[in-house]
Formats: sequence, structure tokens, C-alpha cells
Amino acid sequence: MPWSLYLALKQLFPTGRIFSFYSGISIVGVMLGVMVLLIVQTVMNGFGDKIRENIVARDADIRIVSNNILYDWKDLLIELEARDSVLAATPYAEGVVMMKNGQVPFMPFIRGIHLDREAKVFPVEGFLSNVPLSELRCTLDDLDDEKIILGVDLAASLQASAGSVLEIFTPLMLEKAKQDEVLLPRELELAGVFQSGWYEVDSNTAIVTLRVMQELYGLGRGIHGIALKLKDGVDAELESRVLQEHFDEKGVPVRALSWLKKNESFLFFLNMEKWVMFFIMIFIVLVASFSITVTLSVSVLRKTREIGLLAALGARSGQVAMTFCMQSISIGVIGVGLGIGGALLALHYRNAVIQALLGLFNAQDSFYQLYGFEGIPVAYSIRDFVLVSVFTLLLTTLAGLLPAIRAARLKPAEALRSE
Amino acid sequence: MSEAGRSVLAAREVVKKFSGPDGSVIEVLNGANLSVSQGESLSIRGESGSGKSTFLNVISWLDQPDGGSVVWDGTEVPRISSREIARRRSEVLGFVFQSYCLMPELDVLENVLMAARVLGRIGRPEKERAENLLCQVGLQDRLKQLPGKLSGGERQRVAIARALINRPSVLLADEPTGNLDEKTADTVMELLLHLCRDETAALVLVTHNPLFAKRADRQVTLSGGRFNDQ
Repeated sequence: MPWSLYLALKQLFPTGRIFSFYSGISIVGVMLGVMVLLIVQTVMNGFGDKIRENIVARDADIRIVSNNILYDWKDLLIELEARDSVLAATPYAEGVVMMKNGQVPFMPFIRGIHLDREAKVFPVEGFLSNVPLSELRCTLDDLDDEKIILGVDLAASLQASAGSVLEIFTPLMLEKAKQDEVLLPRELELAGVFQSGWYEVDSNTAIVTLRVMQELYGLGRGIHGIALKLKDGVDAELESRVLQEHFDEKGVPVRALSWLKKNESFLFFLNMEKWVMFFIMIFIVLVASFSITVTLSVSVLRKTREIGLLAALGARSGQVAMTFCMQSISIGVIGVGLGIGGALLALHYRNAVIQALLGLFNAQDSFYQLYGFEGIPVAYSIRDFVLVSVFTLLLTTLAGLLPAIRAARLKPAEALRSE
Repeated sequence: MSEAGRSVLAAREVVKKFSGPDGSVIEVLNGANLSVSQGESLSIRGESGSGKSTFLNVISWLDQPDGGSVVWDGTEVPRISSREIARRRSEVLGFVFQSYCLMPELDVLENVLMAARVLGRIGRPEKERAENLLCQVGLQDRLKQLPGKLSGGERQRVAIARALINRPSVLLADEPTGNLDEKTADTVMELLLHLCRDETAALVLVTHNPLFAKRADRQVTLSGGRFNDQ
């Protein structure tokens, strides 16, 4: 072992003591910084992954959409279904309507689905079976051209119960009203409710048959788009580009949008949020590194005579500097090691900790309603662990440079004379 | 020249100047000449501020002179690189300071071995030599003690063992008994002279005590920046 490392370790862990007080404070500072950075990054990864999973679960892998109504969609549907990468395809039409239950109005999003195909692309049956056993629980078989299924929170907002007849007003009716025609709403009976677990969806979405939607929006036999479910392992983004090239070559005026493209902004902000958090948390490590600089600077002052002694024993100024650099590197290595250990421990017991905290404020229900997760999700990323470790080690090494240079610049004779 | 008469340390026309607080130049060493032979003990006396410690710093090259040259065991110091100076210093010179200068984080044995570590020599022979030296200075039962638990005399004995671990040609002792009571000082001085004789190391002793100075083979006085043989 080089003597500079030996002496550095001895100054951090003096003979007869576990560690020196000042070194301990510095190590704890680095450890806390690393812990916080890793915990935040890992939880943010977990939230991101969970949100992506939910997007994938409630959305199609690819949507084929057009600026105009798609009338000749049946050939396109057959062609798409014939592709090796496609597992299933379903046509849909969607838009906004005004809905009334008695005197309670609402303006939800309404989706017309193909009863035989929808379940092959969207997990709609899972959403229906999520509903607790009650008169509002139904299956897709209960849906026909006279019925409607509502999101569980939308039904609650409309105060609708099983058998309620809802009046539907569409933009097409407004056009007719302008021409002084009598405005008669379409009446649909509530067949049941669904529960996706996403409040935005459950509070604002209604499902009807594709035929009803075509009638409401005056589409004739047209649709708004085709949703695709891809086979396992097929990259949605890559496949959407292949499809787009194919459509462009054939001159078909449609666009292929992957779920990634469709949610691009949201996913971008999700990722940005993670890196903004990282940036903010960096300051904890910066403060810890600054405390290393202060501790080692004080150490240089206290050990001035010992620095002179080292020169008398034959040490070169570079070796004296290395002793202090080795101290900051050792503090960094130990702090990072303990920080990683602490972060893994805290993440392992995260749910127990959060349960205890929520219990204190009696806020368990609010937490689950807000996030829709059973616990705090985590996703361990080796890249994040390496990044945080390397970054922290770099900062702690730099933190030792200033005191190391000061020590190296001391004149041995003057250092030996110091009181 | 016989082995015993070989010069192991020499200062030739050494000049050292300092700037005073008012900007004036103070010439502390003014063409100082001194030569020490192997195994010889030499005491340096002089008034406070006469430049005794400065002379030790200059001949050990811890402080560079403004003129003249220094020779260590046949090597003219200004002619070698700073890396070589550091290595030769640890091989040729051993230091004993008035304030002991022990490292508080290291125990007695580790303090002695530190000098060998810096020279890159750390193994069983060095450890055995360190234990042997500590036995000779009467600290064989205190190897694992921290310096803070030792008396002043014991600390200085550790410092003597450390100074001798690398078998130096010359031991430079700057007021080694300055912080000790009379009886302890006498014991330490006797030990220092005895060990230097055993190791055939030359001793350059800076002291105010005339009785200790007389125990050396040769005595000189530093006055007006030059040595006067007594």
C-alpha cells in the first residue's frame, strides 16, 4: 500500500478509534447525498415505468388515424391484420358529446367500439371486471345499440344507476338545430360501468357500439381510426415507421402513431422531471463535498507541523498532496458505498416506511386514489447507480484538491516551526 | 581517508538571508562552514536567534540556502533533482525535534515505521528493526500505545527510534531535551549519544545546555552567521 494511502486511512480511522469525528461527519454527508439521489432516481424510474405500463395497458400499440373520415377501412383492416407483426386490429370512432341524466349534464369523451374486436386490442374486459360486484357490473355482451357503458366516476357524477336512460346530444344535432330542425337527443340506457384505475379515464369516458357512434357523429359507415395490438417483442415505434413508409408508398392518406409518439410530450416531461430532481438533489452532494474541503483545510492547518515532518522524512510535496487527496477519495468511496447500502435498505422497506408515515396523517386512501398504485413503485437502474457513484466520487475528489494543494505548497522549514 | 574520518555532512560557505518586517535583509548565515565525520558527535551552541535551527534546516535542504553548498555523504545536494533530494534525505538524515513531532493517529511502532514507509521500505526486517530500536530506548512494552498516552521523555525516545530506523549517516537533533525536565533530559541525551555510537551515525546536536554540549566529540558556536570552533 502506498504510504500516502496508508496515512490517509490512518487519519480517517486512527489507531484505537473507529473513525475520527470530522471524517465521520464528512462520510455521513456524502452517504446522505448518495442515498437521497439514488432513492429519488429509483422511485422516479418506478413511477415512470408504472405510468408507461398503464399507458400501454389502456392504449393501443399503434393507431392508424386520418384527418378525414375513413370510409374504405375494411380492406385496410384486413391488410393490417395480415401483417406478421400485428396481433389484432379494431376500428373505432370517438369524440365529445353532451350527456344528461335528468337534470345533471356532462360533456364526456365517447368511444364507439367494435364489439367483436375491441377486447383483442384493449383490456376493456379487465376494466369491466375491476368493478366490484353490484348491479352496475356488466360484460361487453350487455352492450348493444340501445345501451351505454360509463366510467365509474362519470356514472357517479351523472348520478346514474343501472337502467338510467341518458340523453345524448352531439355536434351533428347542433348543425340540425341551426337549420330549425327539431332537436331530439339520442336516448341510451346505462348497461354498466368500467374501472380502469385512471381517474381521468374513469371520470370522463363513455363506451357505445361503433354503430351508435357512427349514427351520433353522422359517419355513415365510416370510422375515425384503427387501433392495433402488436405481437410480443415488436417495437411499436419502429413498426409505426415501417407502416408509415408503407402507407406513403401506396398513397394512403393515413398516419401511423405509436403509443410513444402519441404520448411523446407526457413521456418527455416525465423524463425531464426525473433529471430536474437529479439536478436539485446534486446540491446535497455539493454541500457534502464542500464540507470535505472545509474539514481537510482545517486538517492541513492542524497538521502543519506533521506536514513539515513528512518532508523531513523524505516525502515530496506531490506525495504530501496525495495524502490529502487520498483522504477525500476515501471519504468519497466509503460515503458512496454506505449511501448505496442505505439507499437499497430504504428502498427495500419503502412501503413499510410510507405506510407508517401515511398512518400518522391518516392519508392512505388519498395516496392510493391520487396515484392508483398499491405502493411506491421502484425501478433499479444500474446506469443511475453508476452515474451517481461516479459523479459523487468526482466531486469528493475535487473537494480534496484545494487542501491538498495548500499542503503541498507549505514550506517544510516553516511548517516545522509552526505552533 | 579512513572510514571513521569520512565526511558525511558538509556545509560550504552557506549563506541564508531573511527579510525583516521593515524590509531590511537579515543575514542569519554568512558563509558558514562545517563538516561532520562518520560517527562523530558535534554540538552547536549559540544565542537564541543566532541561526542554529536555520542551519539545520539549510543543511537538510528543508530550506534552501541563498549561497554556498551542502554535501550529504559525498553527494552535492544542489546538483541532484528534487525527487533525488527527498530520497537521499530520508536515507542520509534522521531528525529529532524539540517538540517530538509524532503523529497522534499512529501508535508507537507505526510512528517509528512511518519513516521506513516513506522510503518505500516496509517489511518484516523493518518491523524487527523498529521493535529492536524501541527495545533499546526502553519502550518494548509500549509498542501499541498512542503518543498521547506517553510522557515527554517517552515521546522523545520514540522520535529517536524513528530517526534511526533508516540507518542514517547523520542524525540532526534540534534541542532534543528542550521540553524535558533535567533528569529525563539527561537520560534522553545519554540514549541519543549511545545509540548514535552504536549505529556509527554522526550526531549534530543543537543545544543551549553547556553540559550536554560538552558530551559531544566536538563543540562549535554559531555567532554572526559563522561557526567558531571551541
